[in-house]
Amino acid sequence: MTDNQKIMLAIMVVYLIANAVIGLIYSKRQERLSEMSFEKKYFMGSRGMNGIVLAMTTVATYASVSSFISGPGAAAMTYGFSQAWVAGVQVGAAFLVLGILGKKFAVVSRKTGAVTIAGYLKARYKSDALVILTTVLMLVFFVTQMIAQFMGGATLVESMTGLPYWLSLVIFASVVILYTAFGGFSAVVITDTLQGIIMLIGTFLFLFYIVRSVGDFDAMAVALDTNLPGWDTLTGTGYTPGGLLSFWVLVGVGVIGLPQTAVRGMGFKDTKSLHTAMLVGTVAAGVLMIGMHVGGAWAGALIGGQEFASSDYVIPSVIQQIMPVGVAGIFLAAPMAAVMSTVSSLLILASASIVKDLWGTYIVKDNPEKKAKFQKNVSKSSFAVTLLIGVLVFVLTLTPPDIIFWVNLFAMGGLECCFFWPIVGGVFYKKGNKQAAISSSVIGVLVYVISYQFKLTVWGINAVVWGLLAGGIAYFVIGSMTCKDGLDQDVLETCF
Amino acid sequence: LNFLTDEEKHKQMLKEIKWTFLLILLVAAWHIGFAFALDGIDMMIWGMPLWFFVSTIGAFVISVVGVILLLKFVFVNFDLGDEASDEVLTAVEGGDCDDR
Repeated sequence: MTDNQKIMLAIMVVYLIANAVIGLIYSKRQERLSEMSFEKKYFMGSRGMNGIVLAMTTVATYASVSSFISGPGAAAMTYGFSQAWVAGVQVGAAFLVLGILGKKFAVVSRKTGAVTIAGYLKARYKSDALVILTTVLMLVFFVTQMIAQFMGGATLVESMTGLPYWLSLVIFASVVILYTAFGGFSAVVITDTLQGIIMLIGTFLFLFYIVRSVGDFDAMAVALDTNLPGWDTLTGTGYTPGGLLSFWVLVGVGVIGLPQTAVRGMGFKDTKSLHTAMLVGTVAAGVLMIGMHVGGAWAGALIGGQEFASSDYVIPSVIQQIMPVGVAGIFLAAPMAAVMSTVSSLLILASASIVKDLWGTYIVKDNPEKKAKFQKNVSKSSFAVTLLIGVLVFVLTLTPPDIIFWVNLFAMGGLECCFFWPIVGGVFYKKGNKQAAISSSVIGVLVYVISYQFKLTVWGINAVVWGLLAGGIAYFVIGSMTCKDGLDQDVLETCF
Repeated sequence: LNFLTDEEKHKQMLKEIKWTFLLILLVAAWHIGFAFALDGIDMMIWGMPLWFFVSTIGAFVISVVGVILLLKFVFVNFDLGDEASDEVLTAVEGGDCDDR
């Protein structure tokens, strides 16, 4: 290990320890202050998030390792400013999700005690089939996404510190799993907040050093013209117009259907927090996404004549080239923060879904004896389930089976097609019944997977557009056909 | 803090949803429209191509200003309601509109 690698490793370890300590102390304090049940403390942080925390956790959950490594790398090496345009789509994500779902979820989840999206769907549609279907699908996609995030993070640590892959993975996976399992949702959101701030700092550092290194913009343009012809065009580097427009569905409007983002609507304190979060979240998402990708596009001027195995290696290499080692270590904390915030949010929601939506509802059921036992042990079992999923993901990440990569291709679009219409339609459509919700999830996911796998599409439009379109038609047509007398009275009372 | 009935809350939330959706439509139209309309004009602003600067930086500015306006003129503070008791762990039946 060189001296530089030692410095990087030291910064990283300090940062990881800080996360674990802050997460655990804060969550224990929250727990003491709250008088809610264990489940609401552990899985929903007693619905106590303020505006800044809500904004940062929404953005941090959403920003993944690709926002720092793959996306900017692709902008530098392959797509130029068209990649930065694609990233710009994500500017609206925070105010969109919070503005559309925030208050509705807050009100309904308080009335019904829900702490997961499936909990909301259960109250809204009263369908066991829908709860089981969506929860199982979500768990499968979450596991593959967590593995992909862990792999991205471990590869990055490996390349920057020279540690072996497995040790890189052990170091930061164990920290994420521990603070999530011991601290629950409160630890997840407070570390998300810290991580969001680190990501913003990382973005500013990146832009500062890139601008300093490229010199003036005229010289940069000359270098870019040689390194990546077409860098300054929208469609000159490979994106088709249909593909570009699809991003407004996949990473724009479609994110309302991502359960890990949507569930944040159940955890904030009051309407003021939500309003603050909409503004802060929009500013943070914009600075982060646009900043990193514009920097990435500019970084294309610095990589002339170098060969990379893939665009994922561009940013780590550029960083080492232009930043002093201490600064590079701090920058490196940003993508690691992105990995940790995404994984911890998926992990706690996966655990909540297993404990509350599957175990509590379908195994314990109504038997009073079993129920008392379940309630008595719920803290231990929730902790154990979180830890177990974390360990399972960790083991799978060491030697991932090929099927993981195949399934993960469908994860984001699949989650959106599964959850979008049951959530969005359920908010306002009074004929949206369980038949509508189930058929829209099933048809949406099927159309998406088939059109993706067999490349059935026109004008380069992404398969997720067809999946959401088919799911939407199914939701409204089947709802209006099967719901003649309107919804049950109690659903109308709790959900409208 | 305003005291609204459940029905008033639902109406208010639908209004907020509608305006949020209109804002995202405006942002999308701006972001897509100016990108395609100005693509090919050979001009740079602060190291960014003109089409990118107007479409993407513009969309960011519109989002932020739009949210500020939404919060000022559309969104309303109200009580989110009380927390239900914790007895919700029962399997559900029915839910079919026609079973009543």
